[in-house]
Amino acid sequence: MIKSIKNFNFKHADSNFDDYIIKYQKLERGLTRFASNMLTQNIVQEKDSIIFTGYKDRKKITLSTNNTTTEGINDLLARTQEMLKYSLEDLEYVPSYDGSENNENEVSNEVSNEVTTDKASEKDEQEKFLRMKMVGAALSKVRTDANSPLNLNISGTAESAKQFVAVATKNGARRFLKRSFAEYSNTIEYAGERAALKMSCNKETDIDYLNVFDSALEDVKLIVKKGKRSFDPGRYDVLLSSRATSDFMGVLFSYGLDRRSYDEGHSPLVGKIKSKIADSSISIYTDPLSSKLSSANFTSEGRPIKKHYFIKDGILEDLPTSPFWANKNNLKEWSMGNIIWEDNNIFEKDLLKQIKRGFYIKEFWYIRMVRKNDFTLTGMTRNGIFYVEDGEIVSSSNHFRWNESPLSVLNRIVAFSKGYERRSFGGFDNYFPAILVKDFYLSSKTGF
Amino acid sequence: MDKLLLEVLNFLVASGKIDYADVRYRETFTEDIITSNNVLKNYNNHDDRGVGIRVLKDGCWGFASTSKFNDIDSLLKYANIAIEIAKQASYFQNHNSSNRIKLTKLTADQIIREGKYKTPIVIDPFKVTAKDKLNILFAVHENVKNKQGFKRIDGTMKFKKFHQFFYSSEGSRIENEIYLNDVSYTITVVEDGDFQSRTFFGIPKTAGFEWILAQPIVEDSTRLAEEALIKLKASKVTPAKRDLIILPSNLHLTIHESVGHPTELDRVLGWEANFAGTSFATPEKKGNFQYGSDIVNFRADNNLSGGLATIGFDDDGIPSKSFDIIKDGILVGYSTTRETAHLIGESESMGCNRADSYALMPINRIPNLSLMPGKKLLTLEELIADTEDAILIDGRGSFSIDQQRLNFQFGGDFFQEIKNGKIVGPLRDVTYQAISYEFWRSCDAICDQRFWQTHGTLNCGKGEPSQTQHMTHGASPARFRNISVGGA
Repeated sequence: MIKSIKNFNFKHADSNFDDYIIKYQKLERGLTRFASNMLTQNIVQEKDSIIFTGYKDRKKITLSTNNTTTEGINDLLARTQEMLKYSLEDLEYVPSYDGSENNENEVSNEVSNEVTTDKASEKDEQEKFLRMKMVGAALSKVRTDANSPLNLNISGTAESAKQFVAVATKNGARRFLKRSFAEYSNTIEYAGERAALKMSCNKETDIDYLNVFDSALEDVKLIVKKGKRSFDPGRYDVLLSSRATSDFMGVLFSYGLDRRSYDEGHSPLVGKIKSKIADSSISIYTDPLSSKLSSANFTSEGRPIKKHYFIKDGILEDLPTSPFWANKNNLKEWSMGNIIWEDNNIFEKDLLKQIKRGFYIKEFWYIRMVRKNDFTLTGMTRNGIFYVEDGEIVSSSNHFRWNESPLSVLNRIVAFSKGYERRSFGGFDNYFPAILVKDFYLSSKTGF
Repeated sequence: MDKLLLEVLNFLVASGKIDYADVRYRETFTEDIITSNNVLKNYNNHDDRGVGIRVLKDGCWGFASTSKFNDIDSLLKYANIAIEIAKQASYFQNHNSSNRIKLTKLTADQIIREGKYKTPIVIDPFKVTAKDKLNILFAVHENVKNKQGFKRIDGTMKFKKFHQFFYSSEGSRIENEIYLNDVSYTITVVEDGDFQSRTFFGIPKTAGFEWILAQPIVEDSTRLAEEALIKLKASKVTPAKRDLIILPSNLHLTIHESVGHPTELDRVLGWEANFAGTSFATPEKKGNFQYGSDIVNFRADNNLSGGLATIGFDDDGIPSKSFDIIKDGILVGYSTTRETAHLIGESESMGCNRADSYALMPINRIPNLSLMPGKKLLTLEELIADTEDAILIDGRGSFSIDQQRLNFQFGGDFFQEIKNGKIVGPLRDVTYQAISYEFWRSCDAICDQRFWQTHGTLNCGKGEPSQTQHMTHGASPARFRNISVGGA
C-alpha cells in the first residue's frame, strides 16, 4: 500500500498548513436516456477532482479543482495558501480526524491507479453495451406492440457509474471507498395513462430491467382496465409503496433534523429525545456495514460512521450531532450514512388486503417543506394511484396533492412490509418498507 | 485551447462518421460562502474545466466528456467514444423504432461564424477578498444579534463565472464569458417554545460584485428581524378562498413553475416524462388556449440586462432571443431548441438549449421569462386601497407542482392581511393552491412598469443526470381573485 493520493505532495501540505482535509474523487459514468420511443441522450463521462480544505492560524478555506496533474494540485495548494491570508478564523474549528478508528483503511495509489487506467475503460465497453441492451429491450417492446392494440409511448434511463473516493487528513485519517451504482427506470404511457418503475443497486448486472418494464406495463394496463374514477380530497387510509415511503420518510433526513437545532429550540422534535414518537414496532437506524445496505463508513471529512439508532422501538433515541456541537456539549458525534428501517417478512401486496377503503399510492413527486415547526410537507401523487375497497383494487383515481408530516405519520402506521433497497448517487442510500397509514391527508386534486 | 478544440472538430468531420458535431470547452469557477452567526462555516472555491463532445449520427446522439482537456490523445479518445456510442445507439434504434433526433436547419446567415458575449461587470467578484465578502454577512449578524428572540442567522453568498468556447461542424465559433452572483440570509427567532424565520432574498443577476454592494443587505436586516418576531405572534390563516396580492419576490417562483416549465417544448413533447414530467400546455393549444386573463402577458427575453439566462448564445450556438409565450392571456409560444422547434412546425429555435457544465448534454431550459407590467398606471398602494379583503404575500416559501404542471401549492415568507383597502396585521402559515391556468385567469390587476422587479432561480433542476440552471423572472405586484389558501 502506498500511503498517498496520486500526485499529492503530502510533505508540502504538512509543512505549510496547521491542519488539512483532502478529498479525491473520481467518477466514470454512462447514461442512456430515451423518450417518445427514441434515444434522446447517450453519455459517457469521466471526471476527477481534488478538494482541499486547509487551515492556518485557525483560518479556513476549501479549494477544489479537476486539474489533478501534479502541476494542477501544486497550483491548488499555492492558491490555498495565498487565499487563506484573506479568509477568517473558523470559530467552530475542530481538528481533523486522527484516524484512530480506521487504521484498516489506507488511501492507496494501487486503487486510484486502477480507476484511472485504460483497464477501467475496457470494462466500460461492456457496461455501455449492457445499458444499451436495457434500453433496446424496452424499445423492442414498443416495436412488438406497435403491431398490436397496445400503442405505447415509453421513456426512461439506464445509468451505470463507478466512483472512487479517498479522504486523508493531516492528523492521520486514511479512508477510501470504491463503489459502483446502477439504475434503470422507465415510464410507460398507454391509452393516455402512465405508470413507472425504477430499480437501483450497486451492480448493473443485478438490475432486473425486464421486470421493471413488465411491472410498469402491468400497472398501466391495470389503470386502463379498471378505469379512472374521480375522488374528493380528504383523509384516507393509504398504502405507500416502498418507493413512496422512501420519498416521504427520507425527507426527515434531508431537512436538518440535527442535535444543534434541537438544543437551540428550532426543531419540531424539541423535548422529545428519549420519548415515544412512533409505534413500538418501528426502529430506524444508520449502519454502513449492514448486510441489507452497505454504504460508505466515513463522512466527507473522513470521520467514522457507525451503527446508530434514530428511533428504536418507537423511542426517539438521538439526532445527528456535528463534531463541534458534540465537543461543546459533551455529546457523542455521529452522522447518518444510510437509512435503514427494521423490516419484517410481509409483502407489499399483503398490506393491500388490509385496506377497507383507501388508496394504494405507487409514487410521490415534488415533495417540499411547508412548515418546519411540525415538519409538514407537501407533494403530489404520480404514476399509479389505485382506489382500494375490502383489500381489492377497484379502480384507478385522479391524482392528489397531499400535506402531511412524516413525524405525525409515524404515529399512524398500522403495518409495514419487508424493506427494499434504494440506492442514491449523491443522497442517502436507504432501505424502507411499504407502509399502511391511517388518515393520510390528500388535500386537493389535480386535473388528471 | 483553440487549437486543441479545432483539432478534435476536424478529426470528427474527417472521420466521415458524423452528420453533426460540436465541441464545447468550459471552465467554471464558483465561490460559495456559508456563514452561521459570526462563524465561517464554509468558504469553497471550485474550478472545473473540461470538454464535452456531441455527435449526431443517423439521428442518434453520442456525447462524451472528459476533464483531461489539455491532452489531445485523451480528447480524441473521447471523440471516438462519442462516435462509437452514437453508432451503437443507431443500431439499437434501427432495430426498434423509426423515431430519430433531427436538428432545425440553420441557413448560412443563421450560423454564427464568430460570436462573443461577456457579462458587463465593473468589479470582478473573484478579485474581492473573502474577508470583504464575509464582513458583509457578519455585519448583518452584528446588526441583529441583540434583537429580541434572536437565535441564529444563516448566510450565503455565491459567485460563479464560466468561460466557454463552442465550435460546431457547421462552422460556428462562439465564446461566452458569464458572471453571476447571489446573496441571502435567514434570521431565526425563538420565543415561548416556538420559532419562526425571515429571509433576505437577494436578487441574483449576471453582474459583477458591484451588484452585491448595491443591495440593501445590512439595511434590511433590522426590519427582517422584527418581522420574524412578528410572525411568532401572527394569527394562523383560516382555510378559505381569498384574494391575493403577490409581490414579485414571491410571484417569480409561481411564474417559474406554472408558466416557465409547462412551456418548455421538450417537456410538452414528453421528453421529460420519466423524471421532470410533462405539460398540460400541449401543442394543439398554441394560439387558442386561454392561459391567463387578457391582462396577462409573458415574454421571454434572453437579452434582459442582468438576466440569469442572458448568456449571449445557447449551447446549440443560437443567439439570445426575445419572444412572446403568452400574449393577451393566450398561449402563443414555447421555449425551444434545435432538437424540438421543428417538431411543432417552427422554422427556428428560440435558443434555449443549455448545459450546466461541459460534462453533460444541453437540454431545453426556461429562458428569462417575465410577467409584463400592467399597461394602466397603478401603484402598489393604489392596488391595496382598491382591495376589500386579501392577503399580501412577500418572499419565497415552499413550492410544489404536479408533473403536468397543473396543481400547485406555494408558501411565502411574510403575509399581511388587507381589509377594506388597508393592511391590518400579519398572518402565518399561509399557503396558496390552485390550478395553473385558473390562477392566471384570475389575475385582474397588475401594477405598472415602475414596480416591475426581477428575481431569479439559481437551482432549477431538470434532466437525467440532474442538471441545474439559472434564469430570471420579472413581475410587478399583481392581484389574484378567489384563490384557495391555508389548506396545509
